Amino acid sequence: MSVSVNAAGTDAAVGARRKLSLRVAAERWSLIIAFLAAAAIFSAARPSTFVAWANARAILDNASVLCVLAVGVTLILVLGEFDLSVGLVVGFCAAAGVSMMAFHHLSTGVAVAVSIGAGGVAGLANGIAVAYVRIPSFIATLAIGSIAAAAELAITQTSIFAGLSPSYATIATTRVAGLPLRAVIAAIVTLAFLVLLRATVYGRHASSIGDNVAAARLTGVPIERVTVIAFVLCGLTAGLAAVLVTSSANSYYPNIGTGYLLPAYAAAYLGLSLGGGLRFNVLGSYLGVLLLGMVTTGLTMLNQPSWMAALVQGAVLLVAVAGVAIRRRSVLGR
Amino acid sequence: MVVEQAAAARPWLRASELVKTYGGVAALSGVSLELRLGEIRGLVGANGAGKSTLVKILTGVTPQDAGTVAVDGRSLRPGRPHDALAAGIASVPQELTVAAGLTVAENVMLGHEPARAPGFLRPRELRRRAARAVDSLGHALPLDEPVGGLSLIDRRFVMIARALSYDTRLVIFDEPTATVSPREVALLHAAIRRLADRGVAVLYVSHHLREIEELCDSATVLRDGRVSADLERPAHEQLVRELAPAAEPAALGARRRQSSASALADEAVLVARGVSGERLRDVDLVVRRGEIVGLAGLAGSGARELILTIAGAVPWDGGEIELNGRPLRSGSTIRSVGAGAGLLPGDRSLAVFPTHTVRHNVSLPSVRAYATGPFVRRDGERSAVASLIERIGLRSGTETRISALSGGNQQKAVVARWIASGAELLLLDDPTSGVDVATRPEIHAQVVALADAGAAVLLVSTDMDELAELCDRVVVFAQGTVSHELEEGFDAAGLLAATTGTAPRKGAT
Repeated sequence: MSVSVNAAGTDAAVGARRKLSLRVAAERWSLIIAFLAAAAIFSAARPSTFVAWANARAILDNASVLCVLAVGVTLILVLGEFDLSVGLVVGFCAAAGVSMMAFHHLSTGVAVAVSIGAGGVAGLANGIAVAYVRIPSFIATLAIGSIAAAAELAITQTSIFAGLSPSYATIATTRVAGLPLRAVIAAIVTLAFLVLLRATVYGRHASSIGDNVAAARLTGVPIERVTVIAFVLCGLTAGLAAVLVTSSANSYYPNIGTGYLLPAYAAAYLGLSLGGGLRFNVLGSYLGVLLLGMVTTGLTMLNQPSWMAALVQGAVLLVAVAGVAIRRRSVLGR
Repeated sequence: MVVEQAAAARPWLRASELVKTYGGVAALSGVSLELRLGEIRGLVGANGAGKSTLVKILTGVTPQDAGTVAVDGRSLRPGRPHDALAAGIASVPQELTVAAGLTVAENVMLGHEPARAPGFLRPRELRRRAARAVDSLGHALPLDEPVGGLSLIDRRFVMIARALSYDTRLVIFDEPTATVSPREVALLHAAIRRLADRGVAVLYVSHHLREIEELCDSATVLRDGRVSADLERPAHEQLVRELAPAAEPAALGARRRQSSASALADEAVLVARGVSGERLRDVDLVVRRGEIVGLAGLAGSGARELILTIAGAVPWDGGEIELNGRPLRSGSTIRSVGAGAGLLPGDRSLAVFPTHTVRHNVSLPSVRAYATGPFVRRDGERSAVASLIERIGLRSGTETRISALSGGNQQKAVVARWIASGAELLLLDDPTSGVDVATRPEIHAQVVALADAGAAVLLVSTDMDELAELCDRVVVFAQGTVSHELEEGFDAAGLLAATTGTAPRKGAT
């Protein structure tokens, strides 16, 4: 930035401002730009298979589990905390739900309710440990995640279940207005969390805590209650994610939830750019999940080895987070 | 010695025609500054005048766009903090940046610990060098104690010793007395004078014009990124004239006392009985509607602790506090805010939500007023906040991110927050410590307006002028309890005497 001040500075200043605002806009829309670019590249490389309604539908359907999880994780990140138990809690909830059908021959409805309820219980444990016992969330959720993983294997006795129940499988096969039900559920959950964070008193409180917890306390924000509710909601999303996973193949295998933690956080961090690099936001996380899902599918179609997806995801995340860190420094001077 | 004197005659540091623009906005447009060894020079200016940009350029933190900084005739490379340090320029930042778990000696030598080849510390050498830096400060510090056990003022001395632990010829102090009581200011100034006597140049950045008058040999006044005056032996009145577009109306305090004499009813808003806690002993206090009550005292005397206790930020264990007839709970900010208390800390990092809009910052404690069920009606909220910030003279949009505003304007937004929530007891903790002279009277006027509208106000301040100007009465604290109560006809000098313990104690007359 070498704008001369004395020489008819106005034109230069206007030009500099325009250049600056263009850069800000490019950063803000970088997720959308990356999304469109990835779509364009894969479409050009595989015009017949990638550009197909069936493919879009499949990407949305496959991404639904991660969408639900990423949205729950986003709420925790907005608070300035971490929930590292989400993946393991998915496994615990899956075991709890599946056992209702496999061991007790109960209905699909009960299985779904137990699965989601188990998530709520795990979330409540996380929330109390963090808000009232004041254990740093990083370690508290790691410990509770480990307990959840143990509970999962204890419930299912480390065995595989297949062909759970025909009616349970319909959760994954039903279409609503041409869209897979799982994708519709993910969209509804995303919308609900979007409204929660943007338009409610609770959302105000949550984002204030994440921005400045000391100021939030002095302003009378009920920090403990808001924190517990956030962890419970995040646990419920993990329970719902467990239903979406197990219904799709109508089966369960041990440690079914491992592998969701990193991509859920990756998506949330990708979504940061949509909030100006400063605030985690539900819409950004949702689009982040779809971007990751599209890249994975696209690379598979290009017959790339399977490790390629992990490599690209890691690289994309690193670039996104680096961009966010730089932007944060320039805006807040930290 | 002869050499020293010759060196003192010509400037040791010469900054010429410094220019710096941020995103097309000029922060400095041609600032020049000279400093001789042994000189104490004040640097004053409103928030946004360019003081911090100038300091950042001198210390090499930020590169200038044009102009030079020369030490002993040699130009420094722009934007090289290590070069600036090597040339002998060190700064003491406003914030306390000490590692509480390390010892004083380790803190003093932080960042340039003496080590031998592969990186092993040399603890004896470290202690020796730290002792030398502390000696040159002339203020005794326990070298082997952890910094966590030290008083705030001693922590500040640790930071100064750190600046001196380099081969330092110029020390830049940035608002060193922002959270320091008057007696401690004297200690700090004595140390700074000793430094100057030993031939160290000092650049003293402060909003406190009295301190500049008392301490400084000369002063540079910045306004809108230019030097508007270079003063020798700066006098307080002269500085006020240079800085303030509209000086504070001196009659403000007098008018206040009159209006409260007419009394808005004798209704007590706050009643504290026998409050005791870690730093408080058996404190009784009643504050009535429309009253501005000052709390004065040295750091740790209990004055600040009391308002933090009422705000719910600090727990208490004996006695009771009632606000609007509702008993408060120890350590519950939720209860205190709910009962009508609003805390305005001078330290903005305890009040402002930096990534959020002005609207969010103003309406947070009152957001339920704009809500239908759990949902916030944003239109109603926006227009309410817009009219409020216009009324208090905050020139900003409701959707502007608050961190884009100047410090004074951020403070005004926090005032607006408690107006919006209808707070009936305002707790002001050194509210203008980080605010420029132009914004100070505006904030004072808002406080008076709130009191006139029926709010009770408790004001803790280290600035005796502020207490004398604003307060109907002042309660002085010492060792956790009330030592004096000044009802009327008090002035800043009397307050200073009472807080520093030179006036007769309560009950002694």
